[in-house]
Amino acid sequence: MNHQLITLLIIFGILGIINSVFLIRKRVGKMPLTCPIGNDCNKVIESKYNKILFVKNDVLGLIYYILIIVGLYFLLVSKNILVLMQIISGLALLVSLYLFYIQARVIREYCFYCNLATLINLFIFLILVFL
Amino acid sequence: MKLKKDILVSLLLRTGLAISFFYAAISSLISPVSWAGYVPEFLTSFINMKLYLPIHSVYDFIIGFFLIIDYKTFYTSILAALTIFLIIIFNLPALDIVFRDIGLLLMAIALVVLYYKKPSGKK
Repeated sequence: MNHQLITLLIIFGILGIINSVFLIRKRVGKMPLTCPIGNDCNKVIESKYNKILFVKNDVLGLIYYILIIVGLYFLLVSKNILVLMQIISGLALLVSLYLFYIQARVIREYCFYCNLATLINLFIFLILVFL
Repeated sequence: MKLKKDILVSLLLRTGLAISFFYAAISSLISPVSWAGYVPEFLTSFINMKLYLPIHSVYDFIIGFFLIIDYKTFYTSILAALTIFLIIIFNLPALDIVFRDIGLLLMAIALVVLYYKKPSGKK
């Protein structure tokens, strides 16, 4: 198995975890987000779309990135889990793209950190496809 | 560090550098053989390679982690710059590979400049 791609996958998993923990900390501590590109991240974070089935999106993201890294461990043992990981990452990417659409068309405001997560999810999906 | 542009520049520089440090940390753990050649010879004479690479991995990981969470970034960037500088110096014969590290070195120096606070009272 290509160790360079596995390294990249772990890196994106770590970046995703750090991004999710950052968002959870800000939300739980009720600290306002400063958007580096000048948008109102807080409007997106505080919207009703920031949860799926009663679970906040940042928590879902954190679980997903942990799953990816744990999944990698099992992937080194057995390759059968790769298809499952590809399906999960594909679903995560679809949800991220849906949330991007919600930002663009419904909330009409962008959250930098949420879109960073979308980008990370895209990279994770692509790496898993080419792994 | 109040301007939004500064925050974005800092984030990009920190993320770029952190990814490089994370890559070195993780890859040298997964595939130590690929990295052993970059360890200076004088180090291998008094420290075991099997011990050195994991220690260096942890060091790289900590630098990457501190950079990405923006913790003590001024000092972490100085450490990062010094580390990259030493990597370039000790691998000069492999300049075709490490020439990219010059870019990383300047990124680390840019972060040092960005996070440098003038002593109070001076203009």
